[in-house]
Amino acid sequence: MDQHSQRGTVSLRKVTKRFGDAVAVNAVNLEVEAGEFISLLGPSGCGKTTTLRMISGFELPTEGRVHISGRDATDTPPHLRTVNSVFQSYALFGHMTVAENVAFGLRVKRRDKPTIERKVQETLDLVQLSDFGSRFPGQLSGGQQQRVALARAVINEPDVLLLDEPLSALDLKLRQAMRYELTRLHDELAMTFVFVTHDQTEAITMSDRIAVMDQGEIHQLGTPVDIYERPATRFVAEFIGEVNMLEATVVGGDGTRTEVLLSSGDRLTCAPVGDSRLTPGVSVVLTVRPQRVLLTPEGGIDSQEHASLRGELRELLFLGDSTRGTVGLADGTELVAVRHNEDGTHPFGTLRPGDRVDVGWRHGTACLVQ
Amino acid sequence: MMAARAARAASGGSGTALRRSAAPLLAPGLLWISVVYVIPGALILVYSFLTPKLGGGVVWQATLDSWEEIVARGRRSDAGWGTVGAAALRGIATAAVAAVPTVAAARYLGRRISRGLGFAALLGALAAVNHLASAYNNYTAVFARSVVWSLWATVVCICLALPLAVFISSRSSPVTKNALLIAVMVSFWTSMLVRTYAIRFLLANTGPLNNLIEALGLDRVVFLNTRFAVILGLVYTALPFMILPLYAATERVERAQMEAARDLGARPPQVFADVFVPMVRPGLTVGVVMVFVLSVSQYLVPTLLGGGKTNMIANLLELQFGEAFNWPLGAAVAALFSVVTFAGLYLTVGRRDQEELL
Ligand SMILES: Nc1ncnc2c1ncn2[C@@H]1O[C@H](COP(=O)(O)OP(=O)(O)OP(=O)(O)O)[C@@H](O)[C@H]1O
Ligand SMILES: [Mg+2]
Repeated sequence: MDQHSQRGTVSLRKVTKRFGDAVAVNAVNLEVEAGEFISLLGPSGCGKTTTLRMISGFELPTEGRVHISGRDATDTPPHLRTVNSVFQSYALFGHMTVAENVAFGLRVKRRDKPTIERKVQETLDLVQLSDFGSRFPGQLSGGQQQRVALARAVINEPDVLLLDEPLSALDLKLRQAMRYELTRLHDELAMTFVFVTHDQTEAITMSDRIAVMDQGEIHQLGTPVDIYERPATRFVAEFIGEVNMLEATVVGGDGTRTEVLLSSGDRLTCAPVGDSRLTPGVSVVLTVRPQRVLLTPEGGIDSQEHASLRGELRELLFLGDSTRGTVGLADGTELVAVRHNEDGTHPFGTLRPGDRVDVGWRHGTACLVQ
Repeated sequence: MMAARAARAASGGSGTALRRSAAPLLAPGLLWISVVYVIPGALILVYSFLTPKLGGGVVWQATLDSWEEIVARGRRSDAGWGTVGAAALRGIATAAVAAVPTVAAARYLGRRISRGLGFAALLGALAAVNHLASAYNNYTAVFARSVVWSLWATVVCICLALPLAVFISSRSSPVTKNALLIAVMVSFWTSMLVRTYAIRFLLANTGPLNNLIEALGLDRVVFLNTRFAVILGLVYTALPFMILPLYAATERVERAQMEAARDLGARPPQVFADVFVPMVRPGLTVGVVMVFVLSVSQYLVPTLLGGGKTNMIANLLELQFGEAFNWPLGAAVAALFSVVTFAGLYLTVGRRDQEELL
């Protein structure tokens, strides 16, 4: 493949990083496409920063190769890589003005003065800090410092921009504003963004694709919809949003469906997730989002198109914009259904706690994970 | 310039307001400073205008004799214009040679060429003064020698202390750090006289160093009573005063900022010059001032390692107060030198970094 078309791609090939005996990143494979906004999402300590630092060159992989823009960059020192980073702590140079901070990358590359001045102004305009060039970082608010850090990185027109939890130091309101700002920048710059976060909302709202990580491994790589609707592992299902999890055992099935036996004794048919390991006898977890769960009086669910289970309504909780019903199944397992409240009527009709109910979901909305 | 800006930035631009409101708090400190420094200083100045008393002390009779004497002895020289010309030539040659690496370094670091040239000119001026100082043997020469040798000691201290400070602060275990810091300070536990004699013994013509040189099949070298011995002694005594403030400054260096510079394409030397040095600058300034002031007023080192000559200003003072019993002349020398040193420090580091030192 020619070099030009690969500009902006990142490829991690079986990358492992060990610190002493501890494995921070474990044989990770990741192909980032040019121009996409990809998030590394996972809990604290799962290896996100380490992965990012192997792309920026501040950590050397113990094993595996890192390719940037189609070239093997594993042994390239950080200052020669065509990537730039936005650090969590911003790491602005306190002894330089905002303009000097932003100009730094071009200055060390010895670009000529008029070019530097023009580009600094352009970039400050881009992050809406046109009038702040002569201030010092210490005289800026957190959000403004964040923008300076962004400007300082993007002025170099890197192939890939790496962002390590850039929003985590900001308060909620500012964080939401900066989310929008970042997506706008991504659209305008047409640059690859690799964004690290432990905040699922951030990842879901901003990314083209998300890599969900845990304990140094990527559990699932997919679009936000994929990740949310079709979690590949139990960890992903639990980590993203609220989910019902029912223990089950595979009892049969073919290429188009899988039959499982729940711990409550019910047999259900689910769409397979393309995982050939779901052979009879394997124990799995059935996951279904509360928003997808129907809750009706007994016999109220069309069993042609839906999976349905019988249970008893334990609790109804009014949450303002929605109502949450908790159902106990035959063996005591609980299943939660959440429905939006519309025009003042009760979304679950006349149901009251203690009533016998049917719960169910449209075939295909539940997922089996291991 | 940069460091002062950083200080302003850190204080959010409210530095002056802060200082004004803090004035009452400074009162005890100012009182202390005046008791310890200002009053003795003033006394020295007053003495310099009095008449010497035979056998030491002063007669309270105002005269300008001492100052006239200083001017006269400053002028009197055993060398003519030839020496001045040689010194000038030497300065120009040094500047020209030094300009090659300094301009190259300025270009490499992306700084203005004029800065490289300025640095070369400074080195040239120092070389010229150095030459004059070794050729002349009058008060001017003693002044110049004191300053130049102390500058040498300061530069050597920076070169030794910087890597050491970085090394200590890069140790991950606090125990190791403390052990290393204590090792730095251990030399304070021994009397300076003993330590200086120890160096004298080491460097002596029949001392261990020369024995080693002879064992290697080389000729013995005269170390004692040379400029080398004096500067070595100055460095040895003052080094901890450079290491400690530099270490404190290095501890505060943000790793992330250095990585950010690297990430933005700066090569390691650029990271050092553009990010590391500005960040340790306050510590560096404190270290430079301490080492220079300590060295320039050294008495033991020039006496024991430099031979019985009037090598540095303290020897001159001892001569006037102790042997010639001309207290007013000694006081005048001391006053003049203090003013010159203070003014020099103020002009070079003071104006730029006063906000950090306060
Ligand atoms: N320099 C290091 N030396 C030893 N262990 C390290 C080092 N850096 C990271 N680790 C370990 O590697 C693992 C992954 O760390 P990493 O910083 O990549 O996590 P993270 O996903 O970025 O977490 P967070 O969300 O808290 O920032 C952690 O267990 C951490 O303790
Ligand atoms: Mg991290």
